[in-house]
Amino acid sequence: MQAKVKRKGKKLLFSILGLLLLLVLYFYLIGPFLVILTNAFKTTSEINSAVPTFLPKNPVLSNFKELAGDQVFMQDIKNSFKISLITMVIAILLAIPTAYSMARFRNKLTSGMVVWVLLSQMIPGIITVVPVYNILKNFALTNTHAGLIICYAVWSLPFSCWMMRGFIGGVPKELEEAAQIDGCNTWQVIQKILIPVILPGILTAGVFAFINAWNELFFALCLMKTPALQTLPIKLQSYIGMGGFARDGMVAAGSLVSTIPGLIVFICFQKFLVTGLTSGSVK
Amino acid sequence: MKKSTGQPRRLMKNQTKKSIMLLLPSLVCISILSLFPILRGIYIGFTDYKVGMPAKFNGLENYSYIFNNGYLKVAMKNTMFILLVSLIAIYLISLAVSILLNSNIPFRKLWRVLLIIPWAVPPVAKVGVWQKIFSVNNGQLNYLLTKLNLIDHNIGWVSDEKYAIFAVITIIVWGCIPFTAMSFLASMQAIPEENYEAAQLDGANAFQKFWYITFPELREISMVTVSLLFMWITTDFSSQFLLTKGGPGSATLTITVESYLQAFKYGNFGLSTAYGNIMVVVCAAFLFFYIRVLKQKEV
Repeated sequence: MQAKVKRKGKKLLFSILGLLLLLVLYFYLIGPFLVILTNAFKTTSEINSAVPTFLPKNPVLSNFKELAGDQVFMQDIKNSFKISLITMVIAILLAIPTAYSMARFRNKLTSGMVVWVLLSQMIPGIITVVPVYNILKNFALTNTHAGLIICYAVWSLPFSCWMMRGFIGGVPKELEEAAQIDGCNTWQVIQKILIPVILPGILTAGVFAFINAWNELFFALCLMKTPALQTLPIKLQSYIGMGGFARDGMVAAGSLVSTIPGLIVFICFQKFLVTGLTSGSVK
Repeated sequence: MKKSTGQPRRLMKNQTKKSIMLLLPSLVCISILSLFPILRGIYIGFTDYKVGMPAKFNGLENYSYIFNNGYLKVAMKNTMFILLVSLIAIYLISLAVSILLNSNIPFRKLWRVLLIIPWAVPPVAKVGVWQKIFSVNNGQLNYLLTKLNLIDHNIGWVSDEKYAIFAVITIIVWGCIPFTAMSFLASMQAIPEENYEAAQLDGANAFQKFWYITFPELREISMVTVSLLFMWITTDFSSQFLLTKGGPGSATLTITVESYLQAFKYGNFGLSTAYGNIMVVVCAAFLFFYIRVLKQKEV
């Protein structure tokens, strides 16, 4: 009887300690987001007051009003949205046949693709930015959305292919073989059998491409020179860079706005994201 | 059943043709916008390409310049330091989080959803808010530390060269934990419950259960995540550049930042790409040795 109580007590102690540790870690993980959230509704002077407050004393919407009034900011949101959406579509269209090839066929070409998927992660943007700029210049695509979209689509390909390949690998070959016996060619097999089954994986890879395009700063900064064509990260970064603290309220509100798509997407696709990433890598 | 020799060869040719057709659109795009720029970029690292001037091959001159002038040593030291500390911190914290989320604590679903947040915050917003938190006189960090009586005067986390690199590390670690912890958690959840029950019957305590059942399962996913993290952190631009631009002085100057500065502050693209090439070599070297060591341990 005493041993049972002792064991239960020990279990309870560990549970409490575990919960405490979790709270501390989550304070670190979630705290900064709460700062963004609460600062977005504070006036700039309150954000910069000598003693930082947590909840806003008088929540205001003035930051959001200021952002809405900034024409360039609103245009940049639309640009980011448009670019990310089209990138997602193109990335999916390119990745499906590629991932199918990588998953179903084993030859030098597909092995080469796998190697490229891995190696491309190692190449920092700084190496490719100047050659890419020159190539785009030849097609008169610098400082255009189309140029940026193509860059982003190709840049998201490795991860999208990797994820989809994992999902496709999970589909039993018998399904496709049965369809082929019924007379479908490869493209029809992909269209009628594979896509409906893999749909969550396709969407996951797609939203991953969307979010990467939405968040990307470096290439956008290098390729887009006209303010009216620029993207949200560029505009947000300019707010942060501006001297003094005059714009801190807008920085917080802008940060909140730019975080929302990521939040929605990640929460909805959470389950598939990790399965996609890990099943793609663990053979 | 014997097959005629003609059939498998025909089948293979057919398959190869199919795979080429399927890969074609991607291959074209990748060749133009990925493969070619990478190769051309690597080549530029061996030229004296400056803004407005044509690129002339100059062999290893860039590298001898980089190795002889002081900044490479500082940049490498900072990069290695950031990598080492970040990887250890990310691994340990993610392990702790995933173990806790895999256990029986209350509100598990809530914690799992919240875990995503640092990943969902875009890099620009991430640096923006942490900059505020690290602010000397009205930042939350100094305020909390002072309230807890841990410090007696405000620390310049970003302006003091002793601490700046830890500010950068904190931000990097913060952003990488969701992916790593979620990967670990996914692996842990794939472990069948019976393994733990069997261990329980054999009298194993919690620590033994973890060490002998959970941890070995994490080996494979650890390999993947650590490799990815290494590559991501080395090539990361926002966290390293936006917060401190390599400063104060050269306290947070990493290879990435130096590479960027050479390109866009001095217009020296040849040199900047040379730094980039060095980064690639460092990544490749790490991956090679890391995977080799892990594969050996497996045996």
